[in-house]
Amino acid sequence: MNFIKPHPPANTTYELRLNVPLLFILPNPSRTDTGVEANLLYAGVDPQVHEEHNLGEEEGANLHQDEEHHDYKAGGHSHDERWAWMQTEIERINTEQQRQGVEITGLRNDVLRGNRINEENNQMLRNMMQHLHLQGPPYGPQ
Amino acid sequence: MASRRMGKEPASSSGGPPSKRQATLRNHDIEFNTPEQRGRYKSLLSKPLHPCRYPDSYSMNKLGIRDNAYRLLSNLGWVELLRPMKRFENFTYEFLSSMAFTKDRLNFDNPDHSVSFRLMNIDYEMSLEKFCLEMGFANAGFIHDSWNHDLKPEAYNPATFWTRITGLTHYNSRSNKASNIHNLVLRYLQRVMSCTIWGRKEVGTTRTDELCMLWAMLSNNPVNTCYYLFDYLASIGAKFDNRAEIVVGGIIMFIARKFGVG
Repeated sequence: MNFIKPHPPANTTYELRLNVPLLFILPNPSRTDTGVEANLLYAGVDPQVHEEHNLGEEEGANLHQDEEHHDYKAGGHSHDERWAWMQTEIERINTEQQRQGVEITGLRNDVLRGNRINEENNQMLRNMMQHLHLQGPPYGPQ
Repeated sequence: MASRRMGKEPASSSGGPPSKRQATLRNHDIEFNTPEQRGRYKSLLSKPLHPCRYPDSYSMNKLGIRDNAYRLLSNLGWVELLRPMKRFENFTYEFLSSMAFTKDRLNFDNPDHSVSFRLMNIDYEMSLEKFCLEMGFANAGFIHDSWNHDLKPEAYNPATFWTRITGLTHYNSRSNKASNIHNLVLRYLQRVMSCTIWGRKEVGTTRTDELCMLWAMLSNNPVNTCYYLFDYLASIGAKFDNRAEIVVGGIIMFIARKFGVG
């Protein structure tokens, strides 16, 4: 999956990501110039990994924004190894989502019961809900 | 002493059939030529109408792809076509409800395609060649008709080209994800086409036409732009599916301006 996102820390430039790993910082006319045949297909990107992605474009981009960087050299892994890595990665994400879901439920229950939660927890709750594309609670004391 | 009834609407306006003026306003000022046009207009009204989205120079500059993208667009003569247009609603309904594209499938060497449509209640009927002339496009170049794959240019193979720009060996003309395209300029141009010429809400999948256009831009091969425009607009106008959405207003405004009515 190909997408661009602001390049930290200043976020004044952008970066092109392909199948999650960072490809290069934009602008970079020498790498985007369509007059160069090599720029039509960037080497070192595994198309098979790419083919498995069925996420919507924007949703996919958002999901990957805060994930850790997984880079692997082309040709360094066999297809089986890569497939095993993908399955492990999917399991890891599922587990993490379940854990966050439980945590969110707990925090929301606290709010519904009238228990005040501190601002740090509140911010964490909002961040997690944003990450999971959920509507967060309104700001301010409940 | 003023009557208490003064200033009230006449009784006939709140009940009974609408006045002629109200009906005209509701019909986007369109005077229907045929019952068929009225039927298509009613069908179109049930579909959401969305504005086109155009290439943004600021963003392209920021990404460092502006010159490259415009160079590819100019290969097909599309730079003027993709300038932002506004106030498109009336023209869109009138054009789509009235248009017809008659393809000459009998004469392959010198086909006599014809088009007809209404704009500002004026009927237009002409050959595709004349239409191209009015629009400033050449009535020449490649046509890759999705209904007739024999028409595609000899040097163009969609599956091979798809592999060339994505690295994927699997090609499916109905589900080629645009996000698989590696090069940022090509990806951007595919998005531009899916928001204007082949305007639609679902922009994640690459149409075969768009793929062909990317190939034509890269290889600097001319295409018959007007054929593609009419082919797609006719398919939008003829759709009776309420879930379909209309995202081609900007292109119709471009046509209207070329005919001096927009």
